[in-house]
Amino acid sequence: MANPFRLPTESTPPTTASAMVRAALGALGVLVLANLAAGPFLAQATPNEGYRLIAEKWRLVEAQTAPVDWLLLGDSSCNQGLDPAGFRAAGLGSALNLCTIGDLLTLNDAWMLDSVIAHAGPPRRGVVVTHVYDMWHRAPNPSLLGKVPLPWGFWAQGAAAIKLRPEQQWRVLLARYAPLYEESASLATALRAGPGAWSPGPVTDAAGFKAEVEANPEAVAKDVRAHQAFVAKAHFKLSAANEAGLEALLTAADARGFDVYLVNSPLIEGLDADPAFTGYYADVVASLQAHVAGHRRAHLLLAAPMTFPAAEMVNADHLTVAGAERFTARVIDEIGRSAADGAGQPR
Amino acid sequence: MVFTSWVFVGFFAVVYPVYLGLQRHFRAQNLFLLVVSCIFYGYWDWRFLALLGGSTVVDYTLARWIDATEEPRARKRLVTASILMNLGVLGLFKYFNFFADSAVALLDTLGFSSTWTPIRVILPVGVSFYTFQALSYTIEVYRKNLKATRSFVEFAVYVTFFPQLVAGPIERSTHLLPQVQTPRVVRLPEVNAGLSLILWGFFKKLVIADNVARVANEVFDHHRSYEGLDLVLGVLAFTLQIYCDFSAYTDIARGLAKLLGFDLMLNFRIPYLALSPSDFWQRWHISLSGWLRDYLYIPLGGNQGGAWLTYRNLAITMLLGGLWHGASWNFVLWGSFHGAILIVYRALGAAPEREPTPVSVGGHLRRFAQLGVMFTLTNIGWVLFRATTVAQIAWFFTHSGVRTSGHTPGFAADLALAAAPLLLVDLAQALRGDLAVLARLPTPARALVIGLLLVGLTAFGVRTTSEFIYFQF
Repeated sequence: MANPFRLPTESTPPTTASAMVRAALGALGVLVLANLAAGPFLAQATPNEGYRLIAEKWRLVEAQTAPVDWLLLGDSSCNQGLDPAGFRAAGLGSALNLCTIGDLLTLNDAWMLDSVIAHAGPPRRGVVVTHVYDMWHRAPNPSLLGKVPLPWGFWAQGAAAIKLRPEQQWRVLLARYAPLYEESASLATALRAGPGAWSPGPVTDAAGFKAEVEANPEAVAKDVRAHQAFVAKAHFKLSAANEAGLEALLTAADARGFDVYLVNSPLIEGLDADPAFTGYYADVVASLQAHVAGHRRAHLLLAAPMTFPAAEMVNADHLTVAGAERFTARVIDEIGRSAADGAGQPR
Repeated sequence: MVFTSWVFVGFFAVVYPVYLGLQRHFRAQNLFLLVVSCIFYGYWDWRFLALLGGSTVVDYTLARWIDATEEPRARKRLVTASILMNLGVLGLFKYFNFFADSAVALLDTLGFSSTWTPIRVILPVGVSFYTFQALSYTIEVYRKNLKATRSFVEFAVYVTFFPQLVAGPIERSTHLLPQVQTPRVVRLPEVNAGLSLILWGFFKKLVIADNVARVANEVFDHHRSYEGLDLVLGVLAFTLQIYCDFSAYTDIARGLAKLLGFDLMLNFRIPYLALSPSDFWQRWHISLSGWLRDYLYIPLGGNQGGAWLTYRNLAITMLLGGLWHGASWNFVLWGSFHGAILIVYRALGAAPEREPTPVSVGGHLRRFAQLGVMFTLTNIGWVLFRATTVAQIAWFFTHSGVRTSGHTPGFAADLALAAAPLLLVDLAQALRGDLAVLARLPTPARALVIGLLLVGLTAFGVRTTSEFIYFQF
């Protein structure tokens, strides 16, 4: 051992090609092992609630053995906006909330419906599909597609088939098989938080509903500004991926004999007074109406959005549990009204 | 083109096979190196190439003229012209804004309030490095330690060699130019050592420096929100950041050079194990401190003129060393501070690094005390270096302490996690007295360590990496 305070030198040690190759292969092995370990660890401990939500909802899909009366599909506004307990309480039978997040588009709704039908058969009464108005123009997020637990290549199969460019497929591959790289921020956060945070509880209840108790007026105000900025510049065009997902849902309803109710998400009050918003929103509704019109079991509910005060909202389109209770009741009411108007009858 | 970017990875992936393909034709290799070095540099801003090219042509020509004459006064005039030209370039691009702003401020203070806005001069990347490197050439030719090269390409490769063009090490013409002038052989041990340096450099930059930068930036940028131990942790974070950032660039530069068959000088030798200021400057940015010693301190008289002249020479050298980093009062303060502590240590006759290995417990304790004092002084210096105002410096010196806050555990954990791998490697290097510990490990251990470094880079490397700190100099 040298005197550690002496000035060190640098001498190049001898090596051989085989030693270098062995070192490289060994290092690669360590990397692969670490990546393999990161997967199960993150599945359990990821602080990314969105990923946990997708995993939870797909576990619910796979656990279905008997048909439910109502399937609730859609994005996170629906995840914490439509409570299956409200359907039971209203005497509409069993309901399952499978809503995930917006960037999975209607594609995930269609894939989930297919999977539920394959596992348990079609819903006995209907499917409610709830999305925020600013989801319909979006393209798929490859990182989120990587979290859909279907066999590789699933996006190109079935009724809701889409094409992914090679770089998008690469992102799906990374999201699915390289958690060490793709979820590095989650990994760092989880490790920094320590063992106490490595078993976060489920995001939703047994029926898939997320009860958010606390309103967040600051987040609401910030989100309203974001929405206003968005509609001020945007021109609506239904994305091809959403069109594929939507058509798959509506076609399945026709073929299997259940009703599909498209529902616009709850919104913060006052946003609908913005002329840019109303223009954009009207375009979204017109587009959805055009699709609904082509299918006999399809209905559009809440063409005018149901609005809520900031005291019942977490952001501009996500409700607290108190708001969710009112929203669920209104949707049930609208479904009933739609049925009374002769919905479900061949047109 | 930043080393830690995918653009550079792609650039080198194309350059390297072509370079190796030209192995038997080293002049063609040189021409190729010149072209790719210009592409590398021009990627920042192609306009900077004109300045780099212009000063290279002038230095090449002046050196040829110096070499061509034996007349001492003519040689002196020519080397003076080279010095003036290079320092003029530095002065214009590096100090123009500072003096222009200072002049406007002075006019305002004197009551000549004007709406005049001085023109802004963009600082070309790496200008401080390549002008000093070019100066080393003309001075060595003047001193007759080196023959002026007849080949412009060889000299241009010496100035523009892309691995070390923008942030050093500031190579000596007597060391690098002969390597340009002779065929290089790329050997397996050098490739192995080079790859180890590159990997360790990437890890230091992306995993350590860029992660602790978050703590350092938060504390320095919002210093009034912090006090007590948080300020200390912020300073320690910057101490870690600047070492890992700058030494990472050097490691990657030296590693790339080894892959190309070149040997670049050492720039760091575990600097935070220094026991005194003179020891520190033999370990930190060695290529600059050596340059200042050989071309400034010794020509000024060095330590040959008695104590007071030595102190003066040290003060001038360190002040200019501080100014080399930029025209800003904090660099002046930093340079002056290091000059002052060099003088104090010299006056006290403290040169512990030259003592033999201590055997007694007391001897060991004394070493650690010396280490602690020097490390503390180094940290004080970094406060001067990193701060942007005198008020900020004052805040750090008057509000640092041991009081904790809600931020303290997070800062401490981030710092400890980032420092752990560096401590392990630096300790291994110090105990073995060899910087090439990673390349020297037995194959299974090497595989494990490389694997862990790759895991660290993959999982904890900062993706939106910032440019290396020393690019601004």
